[in-house]
Amino acid sequence: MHPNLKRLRELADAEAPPYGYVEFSRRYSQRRTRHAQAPLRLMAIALAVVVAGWIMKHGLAPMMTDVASTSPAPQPQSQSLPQATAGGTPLLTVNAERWLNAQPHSAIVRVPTQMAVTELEDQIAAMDDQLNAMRLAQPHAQQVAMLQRDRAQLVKSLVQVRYAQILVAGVQ
Amino acid sequence: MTRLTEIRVAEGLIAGARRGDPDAQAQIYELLAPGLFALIRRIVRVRAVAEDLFQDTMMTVFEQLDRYRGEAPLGAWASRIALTRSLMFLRSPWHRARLSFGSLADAETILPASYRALPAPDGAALDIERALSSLTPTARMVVWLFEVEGWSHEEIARSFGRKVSFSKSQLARAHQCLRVWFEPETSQTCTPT
Repeated sequence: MHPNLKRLRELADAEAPPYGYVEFSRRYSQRRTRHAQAPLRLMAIALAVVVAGWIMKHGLAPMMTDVASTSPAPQPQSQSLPQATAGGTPLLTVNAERWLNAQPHSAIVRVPTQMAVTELEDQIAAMDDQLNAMRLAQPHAQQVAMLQRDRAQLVKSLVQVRYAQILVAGVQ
Repeated sequence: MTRLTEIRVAEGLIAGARRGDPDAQAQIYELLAPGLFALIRRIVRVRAVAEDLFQDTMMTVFEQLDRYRGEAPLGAWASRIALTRSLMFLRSPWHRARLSFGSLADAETILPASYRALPAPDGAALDIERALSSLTPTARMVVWLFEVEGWSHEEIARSFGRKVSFSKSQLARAHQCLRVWFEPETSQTCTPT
Protein backbone atom coordinates (compact mmCIF):
# COMPACT_ATOMS: atom_id res chain seq x y z
CA MET A 1 0.00 0.00 0.00
CA HIS A 2 1.23 3.49 -0.78
CA PRO A 3 2.34 5.26 2.42
CA ASN A 4 -0.20 8.00 1.82
CA LEU A 5 -3.01 5.48 2.04
CA LYS A 6 -2.14 4.98 5.69
CA ARG A 7 -3.20 8.53 6.24
CA LEU A 8 -6.67 7.65 5.04
CA ARG A 9 -7.49 6.51 8.55
CA GLU A 10 -6.40 9.83 9.89
CA LEU A 11 -8.64 11.87 7.62
CA ALA A 12 -11.22 14.13 9.22
CA ASP A 13 -13.87 11.92 10.73
CA ALA A 14 -16.48 14.63 11.18
CA GLU A 15 -18.26 17.15 9.04
CA ALA A 16 -20.95 19.59 10.04
CA PRO A 17 -24.28 17.90 9.26
CA PRO A 18 -26.54 19.71 6.81
CA TYR A 19 -29.11 20.50 9.51
CA GLY A 20 -29.80 20.11 13.18
CA TYR A 21 -32.08 17.73 15.03
CA VAL A 22 -35.14 20.01 14.76
CA GLU A 23 -34.94 20.07 10.96
CA PHE A 24 -34.17 16.36 10.86
CA SER A 25 -37.24 15.70 12.97
CA ARG A 26 -39.42 17.83 10.71
CA ARG A 27 -38.21 15.98 7.60
CA TYR A 28 -38.63 12.67 9.39
CA SER A 29 -42.29 13.27 10.15
CA GLN A 30 -42.81 14.62 6.63
CA ARG A 31 -41.46 11.39 5.13
CA ARG A 32 -43.44 9.23 7.50
CA THR A 33 -46.62 11.02 6.48
CA ARG A 34 -45.71 10.53 2.84
CA HIS A 35 -45.10 6.82 3.42
CA ALA A 36 -48.37 6.48 5.30
CA GLN A 37 -50.24 8.10 2.40
CA ALA A 38 -48.56 5.92 -0.23
CA PRO A 39 -51.32 3.24 -0.34
CA LEU A 40 -53.99 5.95 -0.64
CA ARG A 41 -52.07 7.60 -3.46
CA LEU A 42 -51.75 4.24 -5.25
CA MET A 43 -55.46 3.62 -4.90
CA ALA A 44 -56.24 7.07 -6.32
CA ILE A 45 -53.95 6.43 -9.30
CA ALA A 46 -55.54 3.02 -9.93
CA LEU A 47 -59.00 4.58 -9.76
CA ALA A 48 -58.00 7.35 -12.17
CA VAL A 49 -56.66 4.76 -14.63
CA VAL A 50 -59.89 2.74 -14.46
CA VAL A 51 -62.04 5.86 -14.96
CA ALA A 52 -59.87 7.06 -17.85
CA GLY A 53 -60.10 3.64 -19.50
CA TRP A 54 -63.87 3.59 -19.08
CA ILE A 55 -64.21 7.09 -20.55
CA MET A 56 -61.99 6.17 -23.50
CA LYS A 57 -64.12 3.12 -24.20
CA HIS A 58 -67.58 4.55 -23.68
CA GLY A 59 -67.22 8.26 -24.30
CA LEU A 60 -67.81 11.13 -21.91
CA ALA A 61 -71.60 11.00 -21.58
CA PRO A 62 -72.88 7.49 -22.07
CA MET A 63 -76.46 6.67 -21.12
CA MET A 64 -77.39 3.37 -19.65
CA THR A 65 -80.59 2.05 -21.17
CA ASP A 66 -82.21 -1.30 -21.02
CA VAL A 67 -79.48 -2.74 -18.89
CA ALA A 68 -81.38 -5.99 -18.64
CA SER A 69 -80.91 -6.54 -22.34
CA THR A 70 -77.74 -8.48 -22.76
CA SER A 71 -78.26 -9.72 -26.30
CA PRO A 72 -75.17 -9.30 -28.47
CA ALA A 73 -74.91 -6.41 -30.87
CA PRO A 74 -76.05 -7.32 -34.39
CA GLN A 75 -73.48 -7.80 -37.10
CA PRO A 76 -74.08 -4.83 -39.43
CA GLN A 77 -72.08 -6.42 -42.23
CA SER A 78 -74.65 -9.12 -42.63
CA GLN A 79 -77.54 -6.68 -42.49
CA SER A 80 -78.73 -4.96 -45.62
CA LEU A 81 -80.28 -1.53 -45.44
CA PRO A 82 -83.95 -2.03 -46.31
CA GLN A 83 -85.52 -0.13 -49.17
CA ALA A 84 -87.81 2.13 -47.21
CA THR A 85 -88.89 4.96 -49.42
CA ALA A 86 -88.84 3.94 -52.99
CA GLY A 87 -91.99 5.56 -54.26
CA GLY A 88 -92.97 6.78 -50.79
CA THR A 89 -95.94 4.44 -50.46
CA PRO A 90 -96.92 3.00 -47.08
CA LEU A 91 -96.49 -0.55 -48.28
CA LEU A 92 -92.83 0.07 -48.86
CA THR A 93 -92.26 0.96 -45.20
CA VAL A 94 -93.49 -2.41 -44.01
CA ASN A 95 -90.11 -4.09 -44.56
CA ALA A 96 -88.31 -1.18 -42.99
CA GLU A 97 -90.53 -1.23 -39.92
CA ARG A 98 -90.16 -5.00 -39.62
CA TRP A 99 -86.40 -4.60 -39.77
CA LEU A 100 -86.54 -1.84 -37.17
CA ASN A 101 -88.60 -3.97 -34.81
CA ALA A 102 -86.23 -6.89 -35.24
CA GLN A 103 -83.21 -4.88 -34.04
CA PRO A 104 -82.26 -5.45 -30.41
CA HIS A 105 -81.62 -2.47 -28.17
CA SER A 106 -78.03 -2.04 -27.07
CA ALA A 107 -77.36 -1.89 -23.34
CA ILE A 108 -75.17 1.20 -23.72
CA VAL A 109 -76.04 3.90 -26.22
CA ARG A 110 -74.71 7.33 -27.10
CA VAL A 111 -76.93 10.15 -25.95
CA PRO A 112 -76.96 12.25 -29.18
CA THR A 113 -77.84 9.21 -31.34
CA GLN A 114 -80.46 7.99 -28.94
CA MET A 115 -82.02 11.46 -28.84
CA ALA A 116 -82.26 11.47 -32.63
CA VAL A 117 -83.89 8.01 -32.57
CA THR A 118 -86.41 9.12 -29.95
CA GLU A 119 -87.18 12.30 -31.86
CA LEU A 120 -87.85 10.37 -35.07
CA GLU A 121 -89.97 7.79 -33.27
CA ASP A 122 -92.02 10.60 -31.70
CA GLN A 123 -92.55 12.26 -35.08
CA ILE A 124 -93.60 8.96 -36.66
CA ALA A 125 -96.05 8.37 -33.78
CA ALA A 126 -97.46 11.89 -34.24
CA MET A 127 -97.80 11.22 -37.96
CA ASP A 128 -99.66 7.99 -37.21
CA ASP A 129 -102.06 9.91 -34.96
CA GLN A 130 -102.72 12.42 -37.76
CA LEU A 131 -103.31 9.64 -40.27
CA ASN A 132 -105.74 7.86 -37.93
CA ALA A 133 -107.58 11.10 -37.25
CA MET A 134 -107.78 11.81 -40.95
CA ARG A 135 -109.12 8.35 -41.74
CA LEU A 136 -111.80 8.67 -39.06
CA ALA A 137 -112.91 12.04 -40.38
CA GLN A 138 -113.34 12.67 -44.09
CA PRO A 139 -110.24 11.29 -45.67
CA HIS A 140 -108.76 13.15 -48.60
CA ALA A 141 -106.72 10.74 -50.62
CA GLN A 142 -104.20 13.40 -51.60
CA GLN A 143 -103.59 14.55 -48.02
CA VAL A 144 -103.34 10.99 -46.78
CA ALA A 145 -100.82 10.23 -49.51
CA MET A 146 -98.80 13.29 -48.54
CA LEU A 147 -98.77 12.29 -44.88
CA GLN A 148 -97.84 8.74 -45.77
CA ARG A 149 -95.00 10.00 -47.93
CA ASP A 150 -93.72 12.15 -45.09
CA ARG A 151 -94.04 9.23 -42.71
CA ALA A 152 -92.07 7.03 -45.09
CA GLN A 153 -89.33 9.67 -45.13
CA LEU A 154 -89.22 9.64 -41.35
CA VAL A 155 -89.06 5.85 -41.27
CA LYS A 156 -86.20 5.98 -43.76
CA SER A 157 -84.34 8.43 -41.57
CA LEU A 158 -84.99 6.28 -38.51
CA VAL A 159 -83.66 3.20 -40.32
CA GLN A 160 -80.49 5.08 -41.25
CA VAL A 161 -79.88 6.30 -37.71
CA ARG A 162 -80.55 2.85 -36.23
CA TYR A 163 -78.28 1.26 -38.81
CA ALA A 164 -75.50 3.72 -37.95
CA GLN A 165 -76.09 2.99 -34.26
CA ILE A 166 -75.71 -0.75 -34.87
CA LEU A 167 -72.57 -0.17 -36.90
CA VAL A 168 -70.98 1.84 -34.10
CA ALA A 169 -71.96 -0.79 -31.52
CA GLY A 170 -70.33 -3.43 -33.73
CA VAL A 171 -67.08 -1.45 -33.95
CA GLN A 172 -66.92 -1.00 -30.17
CA MET B 1 -12.51 14.10 18.83
CA THR B 2 -13.75 10.52 19.15
CA ARG B 3 -13.93 8.63 15.88
CA LEU B 4 -17.37 7.57 14.70
CA THR B 5 -16.72 3.86 15.19
CA GLU B 6 -15.69 4.49 18.77
CA ILE B 7 -18.66 6.61 19.84
CA ARG B 8 -20.39 4.96 22.73
CA VAL B 9 -23.72 6.16 24.04
CA ALA B 10 -25.08 5.67 27.54
CA GLU B 11 -27.65 2.89 27.85
CA GLY B 12 -30.14 5.29 29.42
CA LEU B 13 -29.95 7.60 26.44
CA ILE B 14 -30.52 4.70 24.05
CA ALA B 15 -33.47 3.51 26.11
CA GLY B 16 -34.95 7.02 25.99
CA ALA B 17 -34.50 7.22 22.22
CA ARG B 18 -36.14 3.82 21.86
CA ARG B 19 -39.17 5.17 23.74
CA GLY B 20 -39.26 8.13 21.33
CA ASP B 21 -38.02 10.72 23.81
CA PRO B 22 -37.07 13.73 21.63
CA ASP B 23 -34.36 14.94 24.05
CA ALA B 24 -32.58 11.57 23.99
CA GLN B 25 -32.91 11.38 20.22
CA ALA B 26 -31.54 14.90 19.86
CA GLN B 27 -28.49 14.03 21.96
CA ILE B 28 -27.80 10.88 19.95
CA TYR B 29 -28.26 12.89 16.77
CA GLU B 30 -25.72 15.47 17.90
CA LEU B 31 -23.24 12.71 18.70
CA LEU B 32 -23.59 10.68 15.50
CA ALA B 33 -24.54 13.19 12.81
CA PRO B 34 -21.09 14.76 12.12
CA GLY B 35 -19.35 11.39 11.75
CA LEU B 36 -22.12 9.83 9.70
CA PHE B 37 -22.37 12.78 7.35
CA ALA B 38 -18.57 12.83 6.87
CA LEU B 39 -18.59 9.12 6.09
CA ILE B 40 -21.40 9.43 3.54
CA ARG B 41 -19.77 12.47 1.95
CA ARG B 42 -16.53 10.51 1.63
CA ILE B 43 -18.36 7.96 -0.53
CA VAL B 44 -20.98 10.08 -2.28
CA ARG B 45 -19.60 13.41 -3.42
CA VAL B 46 -22.85 14.98 -4.61
CA ARG B 47 -24.00 16.95 -1.59
CA ALA B 48 -27.73 16.72 -2.31
CA VAL B 49 -27.54 12.94 -2.60
CA ALA B 50 -25.36 12.73 0.49
CA GLU B 51 -27.95 14.75 2.45
CA ASP B 52 -30.69 12.37 1.33
CA LEU B 53 -28.63 9.36 2.35
CA PHE B 54 -27.80 11.00 5.66
CA GLN B 55 -31.49 11.58 6.37
CA ASP B 56 -32.23 7.96 5.45
CA THR B 57 -29.43 6.74 7.67
CA MET B 58 -30.51 8.74 10.71
CA MET B 59 -34.12 7.64 10.22
CA THR B 60 -33.02 4.00 10.04
CA VAL B 61 -30.86 4.43 13.15
CA PHE B 62 -33.85 5.60 15.20
CA GLU B 63 -36.29 3.15 13.65
CA GLN B 64 -34.01 0.14 14.21
CA LEU B 65 -32.65 1.14 17.57
CA ASP B 66 -34.62 -1.75 19.08
CA ARG B 67 -32.36 -4.15 17.17
CA TYR B 68 -29.15 -2.64 18.56
CA ARG B 69 -27.79 -5.15 21.06
CA GLY B 70 -24.90 -3.06 22.35
CA GLU B 71 -22.20 -5.55 21.26
CA ALA B 72 -20.32 -2.78 19.41
CA PRO B 73 -20.24 0.98 20.00
CA LEU B 74 -23.37 2.70 18.69
CA GLY B 75 -21.20 4.72 16.28
CA ALA B 76 -19.88 1.55 14.66
CA TRP B 77 -23.39 0.15 14.36
CA ALA B 78 -24.67 3.41 12.81
CA SER B 79 -21.71 3.62 10.43
CA ARG B 80 -22.61 0.16 9.15
CA ILE B 81 -26.09 1.48 8.34
CA ALA B 82 -24.61 4.50 6.56
CA LEU B 83 -22.30 2.28 4.49
CA THR B 84 -25.16 -0.04 3.58
CA ARG B 85 -27.30 2.93 2.50
CA SER B 86 -24.44 4.33 0.42
CA LEU B 87 -23.83 0.94 -1.17
CA MET B 88 -27.51 0.66 -2.04
CA PHE B 89 -27.28 4.02 -3.73
CA LEU B 90 -24.16 3.05 -5.71
CA ARG B 91 -25.85 -0.17 -6.80
CA SER B 92 -29.12 1.51 -7.74
CA PRO B 93 -30.09 1.48 -11.45
CA TRP B 94 -30.75 5.23 -11.22
CA HIS B 95 -27.16 5.94 -10.21
CA ARG B 96 -25.72 3.59 -12.83
CA ALA B 97 -27.85 5.14 -15.56
CA ARG B 98 -26.70 8.60 -14.52
CA LEU B 99 -23.06 7.55 -14.78
CA SER B 100 -23.60 5.86 -18.12
CA PHE B 101 -25.11 9.08 -19.46
CA GLY B 102 -21.84 10.71 -18.54
CA SER B 103 -23.25 13.16 -16.02
CA LEU B 104 -19.94 13.88 -14.37
CA ALA B 105 -20.49 17.57 -14.09
CA ASP B 106 -21.34 17.19 -10.43
CA ALA B 107 -17.68 16.32 -9.81
CA GLU B 108 -18.69 13.11 -8.17
CA THR B 109 -16.04 11.07 -9.89
CA ILE B 110 -13.04 12.00 -11.94
CA LEU B 111 -11.44 15.34 -11.22
CA PRO B 112 -9.85 17.29 -14.04
CA ALA B 113 -6.09 16.95 -14.42
CA SER B 114 -5.62 20.65 -13.67
CA TYR B 115 -7.01 20.05 -10.20
CA ARG B 116 -3.86 18.10 -9.36
CA ALA B 117 -1.68 21.12 -10.08
CA LEU B 118 -3.41 23.28 -7.47
CA PRO B 119 -1.41 23.89 -4.30
CA ALA B 120 -2.58 21.99 -1.27
CA PRO B 121 -3.14 24.50 1.53
CA ASP B 122 -3.72 21.85 4.16
CA GLY B 123 -0.89 19.64 3.06
CA ALA B 124 -1.02 15.90 2.82
CA ALA B 125 -4.55 15.38 4.13
CA LEU B 126 -6.06 17.48 1.38
CA ASP B 127 -3.86 15.69 -1.11
CA ILE B 128 -5.34 12.37 -0.05
CA GLU B 129 -8.84 13.82 -0.25
CA ARG B 130 -8.12 14.90 -3.81
CA ALA B 131 -6.60 11.56 -4.71
CA LEU B 132 -9.70 9.79 -3.39
CA SER B 133 -11.91 12.17 -5.34
CA SER B 134 -10.14 11.16 -8.51
CA LEU B 135 -11.51 7.63 -8.17
CA THR B 136 -14.89 6.43 -9.35
CA PRO B 137 -17.49 6.13 -6.57
CA THR B 138 -17.28 2.33 -6.64
CA ALA B 139 -13.48 2.27 -6.47
CA ARG B 140 -13.54 4.89 -3.73
CA MET B 141 -16.02 2.80 -1.76
CA VAL B 142 -13.90 -0.34 -2.15
CA VAL B 143 -10.74 1.48 -1.05
CA TRP B 144 -12.53 2.98 1.92
CA LEU B 145 -14.13 -0.26 3.02
CA PHE B 146 -10.92 -2.25 2.64
CA GLU B 147 -8.32 0.20 3.88
CA VAL B 148 -10.21 2.15 6.51
CA GLU B 149 -13.21 0.10 7.64
CA GLY B 150 -11.25 -3.14 7.49
CA TRP B 151 -13.76 -5.12 5.47
CA SER B 152 -12.51 -8.28 3.76
CA HIS B 153 -12.73 -8.83 0.02
CA GLU B 154 -15.47 -11.38 0.65
CA GLU B 155 -17.54 -8.87 2.63
CA ILE B 156 -17.09 -6.17 0.01
CA ALA B 157 -17.97 -8.54 -2.82
CA ARG B 158 -21.06 -9.73 -0.96
CA SER B 159 -22.26 -6.21 -0.27
CA PHE B 160 -21.90 -5.30 -3.96
CA GLY B 161 -23.54 -8.55 -5.03
CA ARG B 162 -20.41 -9.47 -7.02
CA LYS B 163 -17.58 -12.00 -6.91
CA VAL B 164 -14.42 -11.63 -4.84
CA SER B 165 -12.44 -10.94 -8.01
CA PHE B 166 -14.51 -7.75 -8.45
CA SER B 167 -13.33 -6.37 -5.10
CA LYS B 168 -9.72 -7.36 -5.74
CA SER B 169 -9.58 -5.87 -9.23
CA GLN B 170 -11.31 -2.67 -8.09
CA LEU B 171 -8.79 -2.29 -5.29
CA ALA B 172 -5.83 -3.03 -7.56
CA ARG B 173 -7.01 -0.48 -10.14
CA ALA B 174 -7.69 2.09 -7.43
CA HIS B 175 -4.18 1.64 -6.03
CA GLN B 176 -2.78 2.08 -9.51
CA CYS B 177 -4.76 5.28 -10.00
CA LEU B 178 -3.63 6.60 -6.63
CA ARG B 179 -0.03 5.80 -7.49
CA VAL B 180 -0.40 7.73 -10.73
CA TRP B 181 -1.94 10.56 -8.77
CA PHE B 182 0.87 10.75 -6.22
CA GLU B 183 3.66 10.00 -8.68
CA PRO B 184 2.64 11.60 -11.96
CA GLU B 185 6.11 10.99 -13.38
CA THR B 186 5.47 7.22 -13.29
CA SER B 187 5.00 5.45 -16.62
CA GLN B 188 1.83 3.72 -15.38
CA THR B 189 -1.58 4.83 -16.56
CA CYS B 190 -4.84 4.96 -14.66
CA THR B 191 -7.97 3.49 -16.22
CA PRO B 192 -10.88 4.28 -13.96
CA THR B 193 -13.79 1.83 -14.12
